[in-house]
Amino acid sequence: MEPNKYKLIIADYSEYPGPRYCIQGDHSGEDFYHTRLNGEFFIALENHMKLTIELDGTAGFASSFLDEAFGNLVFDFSSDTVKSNIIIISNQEPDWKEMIMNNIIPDWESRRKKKETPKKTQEHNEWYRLENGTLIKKVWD
Amino acid sequence: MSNKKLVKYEYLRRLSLERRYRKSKEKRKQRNRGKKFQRTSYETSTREPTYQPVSEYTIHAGTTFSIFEDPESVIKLVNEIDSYKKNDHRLRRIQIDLSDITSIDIGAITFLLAKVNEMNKIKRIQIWGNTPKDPKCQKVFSDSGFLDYMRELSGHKFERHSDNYLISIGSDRTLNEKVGKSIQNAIKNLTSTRDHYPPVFSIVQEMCSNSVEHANNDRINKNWFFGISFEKEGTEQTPVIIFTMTDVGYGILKTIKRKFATKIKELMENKSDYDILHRAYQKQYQSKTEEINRNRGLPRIFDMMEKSYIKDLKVITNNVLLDFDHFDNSKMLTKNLPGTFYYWKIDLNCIEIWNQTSIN
Repeated sequence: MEPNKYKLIIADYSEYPGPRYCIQGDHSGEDFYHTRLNGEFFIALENHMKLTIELDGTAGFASSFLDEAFGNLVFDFSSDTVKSNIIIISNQEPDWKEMIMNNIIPDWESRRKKKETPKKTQEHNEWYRLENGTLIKKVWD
Repeated sequence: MSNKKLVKYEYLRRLSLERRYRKSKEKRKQRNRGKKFQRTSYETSTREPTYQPVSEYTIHAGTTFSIFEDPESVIKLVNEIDSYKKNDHRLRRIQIDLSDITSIDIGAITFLLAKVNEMNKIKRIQIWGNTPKDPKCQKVFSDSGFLDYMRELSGHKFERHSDNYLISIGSDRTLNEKVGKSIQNAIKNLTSTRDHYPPVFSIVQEMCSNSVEHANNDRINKNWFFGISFEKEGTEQTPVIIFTMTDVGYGILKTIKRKFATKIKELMENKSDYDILHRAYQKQYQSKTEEINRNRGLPRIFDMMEKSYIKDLKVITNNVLLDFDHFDNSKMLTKNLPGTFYYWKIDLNCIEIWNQTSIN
């Protein structure tokens, strides 16, 4: 691992990523965000490192999985913080990287500004959010 | 009245009340004993199945049972089966007569299976049937995987004769692992190695997600079937894998949201439902949820087809048959299909194109 990078491989979470919400199936985007991505992104921020997220090695994705996972990240940390602190690797399907950077991040930034909170289909443990420049951990509405 | 007399009367009054209470308690016990006996004997008699009235019905499939040749015939049959859902306390036994069929395809078979599966979950409905007499049709029918979900009249399971299979995803949750592993096994038939093929996994996940998202929560069961069958096509007998996805639900046209101005414009331009469906795959409309970040699934399916990672993509939903490769074959149907049926193929060429695109 390069010194200024911290890596999260989605295939380590699940070889067969699922749908958008926890109630819709196993290994959903909502679950991935709350059990992995939020915490890993926080650690990367705390250590002034970039978080590398590798999409390769899975059976494939539904766009809604990635939308929910990266969308929640943008909602909690803002598009600027996310863009400047993540590196996405998607060699098998370069389209996903393009979609995350060009569609998901701007769309969810717009949702964040409108305060359209993401739907939660099950209760989650406390998670981090950047509020007025401070990282706060709690169960958000 | 003196205090002594008052105490005596009060004592006698209490005695009388207690006596009356004891008597009524005894009477109540006796009454209930009788009722208990009556109730038990009554319930036993109604539980006895021989006393239940049974209504017998027969539905004839006709001669053509093909979703591509004659989609209306399949829709008619499915709708006819569906009509027996009505609230009826009698036991209904429905026979589906497939004996005269001379033309059949996997689409019709999976749609029938999805409907039969849905009906079987309703109490007091029993469905049974026969197989086509025509040898070719019988082979297609037996090889499809339909019989994996049925039992012989003796109660035994049917013997398997082919590698084709139909996976039931009949719940309100997507079955990622099951679908993913079955795709890996299927790919082995083309490449000899058990590899992932993300375009097909993505497509199935998009279809399932779409169905889960828009399925009506009031429905008893969300009912999908993912089919995989193996064929050889053309004079060179090129091996292909045929994938089908059948969702008995509402259909895509009822889940897309068009703005009022768009509706008026399309009406003025005389746009048909298949133009509208085609536009839905090109992200021209909003999702019914109206959230800005939605509606990526259908365009993703279209993209996989445009990049030739899959071929011969066809979709039948509501009153539209949309053939992506041969748009001229697309048509409006005279009957409404209650759900969505997808059909697509892959061959070695598709896998080759995919491998070249991936940066390794």
